[in-house]
Amino acid sequence: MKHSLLLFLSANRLHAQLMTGGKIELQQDFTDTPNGLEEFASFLQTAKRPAYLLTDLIEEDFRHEIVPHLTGGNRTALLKRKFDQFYRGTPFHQATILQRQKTGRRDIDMLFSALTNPSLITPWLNIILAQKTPLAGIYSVPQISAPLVKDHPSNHLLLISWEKYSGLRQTYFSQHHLQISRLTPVHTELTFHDAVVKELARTYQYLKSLSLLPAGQILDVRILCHEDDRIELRKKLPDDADMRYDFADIEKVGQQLDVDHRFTDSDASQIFLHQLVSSRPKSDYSNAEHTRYHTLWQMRLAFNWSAVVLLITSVLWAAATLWQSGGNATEAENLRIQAQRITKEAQQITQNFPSTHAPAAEMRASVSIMRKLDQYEPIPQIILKPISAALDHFPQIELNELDWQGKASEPVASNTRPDVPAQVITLKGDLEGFDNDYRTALSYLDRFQLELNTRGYQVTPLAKPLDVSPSGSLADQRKAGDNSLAFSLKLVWRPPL
Amino acid sequence: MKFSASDFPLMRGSLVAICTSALLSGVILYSSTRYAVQNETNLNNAQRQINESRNRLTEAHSDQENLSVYSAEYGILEEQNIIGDDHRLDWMEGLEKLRSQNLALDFRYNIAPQKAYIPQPAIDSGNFNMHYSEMKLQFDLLHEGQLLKFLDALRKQVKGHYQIEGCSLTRNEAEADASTPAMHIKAECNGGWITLKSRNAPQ
Repeated sequence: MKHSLLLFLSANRLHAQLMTGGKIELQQDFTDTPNGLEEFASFLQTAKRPAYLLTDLIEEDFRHEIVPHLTGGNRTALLKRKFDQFYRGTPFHQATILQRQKTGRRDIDMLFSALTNPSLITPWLNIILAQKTPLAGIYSVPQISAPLVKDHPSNHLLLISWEKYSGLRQTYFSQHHLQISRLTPVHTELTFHDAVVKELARTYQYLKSLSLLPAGQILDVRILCHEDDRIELRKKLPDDADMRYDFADIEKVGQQLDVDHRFTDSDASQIFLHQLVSSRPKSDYSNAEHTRYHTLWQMRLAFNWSAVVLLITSVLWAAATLWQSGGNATEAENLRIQAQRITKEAQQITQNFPSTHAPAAEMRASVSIMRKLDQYEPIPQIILKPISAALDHFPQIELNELDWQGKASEPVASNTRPDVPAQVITLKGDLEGFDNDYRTALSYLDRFQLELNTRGYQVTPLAKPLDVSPSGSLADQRKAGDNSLAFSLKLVWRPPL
Repeated sequence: MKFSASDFPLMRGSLVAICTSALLSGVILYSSTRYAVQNETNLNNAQRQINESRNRLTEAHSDQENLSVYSAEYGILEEQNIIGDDHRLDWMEGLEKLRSQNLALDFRYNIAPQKAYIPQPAIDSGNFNMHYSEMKLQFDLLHEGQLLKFLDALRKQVKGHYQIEGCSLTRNEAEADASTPAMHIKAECNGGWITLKSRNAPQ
């Protein structure tokens, strides 16, 4: 509301003021004449900003009703019915919830009100709509008076104010809820304080007659006036046990509301205009068609702000992305420089290689293969020499056949290398000179096997001179024709770990 | 409230503003995202490049080390004709040379066609094909010591690598025969000539 157009409508005059940053930029009065209306139309052409129309008219009616608590379509239908019933002839009506009852059906205390003479408003409103001025709403002085009495402790309070071009406004609040309001034109021959004295007595009687003020209840009266008028009022207001007076200094109220106006009399028009801007009521007398251009203005504003926010957000997002990505670019450049340096270093190393026709990897592979094959190959000396040495200790063993082969499939004994093939040796021979002394011969062969074992061979007998195991068959040996006893042994050898 | 065509002129500026803003925002976001993606791709490429460079350096260091460690030994393999194709004439000449040294009473050899060699247990042959030309040796010996000397001489004097798989020695049953009084042992050895051929070399 920094930039707004405030309009104050009285019976035959419209006051308009352009507000900028809470200060009055320009103000002008228009009379209810063709000329005045034309000037107003010209004025609006230069004032394309949200407008607030505050009315202060005699023809404003208030009806207090208790209605059932309804919601949605039922509530809308009820209100429409009530408006048709009470205010058929005017489009400027509203319903304000005062409170919900605490007992029974918990119905709602509702205040129906309307500006009952639309012809006072329509000419001005038509110009506003014709000029496509964004009208925010149509309000009335009683409607926005409540904040001025909210600090007063009384439950029965009459607020009296004076608007220069309208007259004396008396608004009655019960339990801080607006009940009725009266506007009395003040003629030039009558001073403000005389009018207050005269009308206050009438209003008191009016409230009593309507039973709005309970019997025996003191009526608190708050008078919004200038310091000069206060002194006069104190002199002229009668001391009455039924009324208590409270004077609100219009200058102090203006300061509290930060009103950009110097108060020289008790005219409260500026107080109400600023009150409207600072605490706008939720409901008002306008309908959707009256505020059409304000809705469009709000949409335009929303679109414009959305456009700005979208653009700023995108720019910020893009900036964050670029900033983050800039780090990647720097890192990539550093890595590229590092990679070039490493490549150059590798090239320097390879350039210094002697010129060979084989790559280094092939050299290593071929040498490794041949080293491994050397380990696979049985070296005859290693195989035969221990056996020869063992045979030297056993002269009664005659070796007839020796056979060795490399075999990878042989089981790996503990403490031997599993990664090379085992050497499998088969010995075939005879035991000589034992005649028929089989026990000694077998014992001799056992010792020979033991000797081979101690030299690192795993020995397995394949054939013995005699099979004396329970599963073997035995026969006498006389038919053999000599004294030899044949045997066969399998020796397995792997290099130790 | 219902909108009508007459409302459009009032809203035109704002609609243009929001559309322009949306368009500009789209362009800005698209461009920045594309720039970021490009930078990320560049970073990934740079990381790949540096990894390749590091691997190349490691390989160079490894080659440098291999050259110093293996080049001498590789030279011997080349000199021994182990690298490359079979040199069967060399083997035959070598064997005949051994025959003239009378290391055994007599020996006979038989070299079979070349074939692929698969050692047991298996060996990682790298970039080489391992070839094997089987050769059987049969000996007439006075004693087993002659076999050992012959095999030792075969290893030292003949160019190539003869991989012995196994031997069998049998005492000669006809020892008592007066016509061959010296021959005590018959021996037979199995094995083959190993050659390594690079897969990059012309086959």
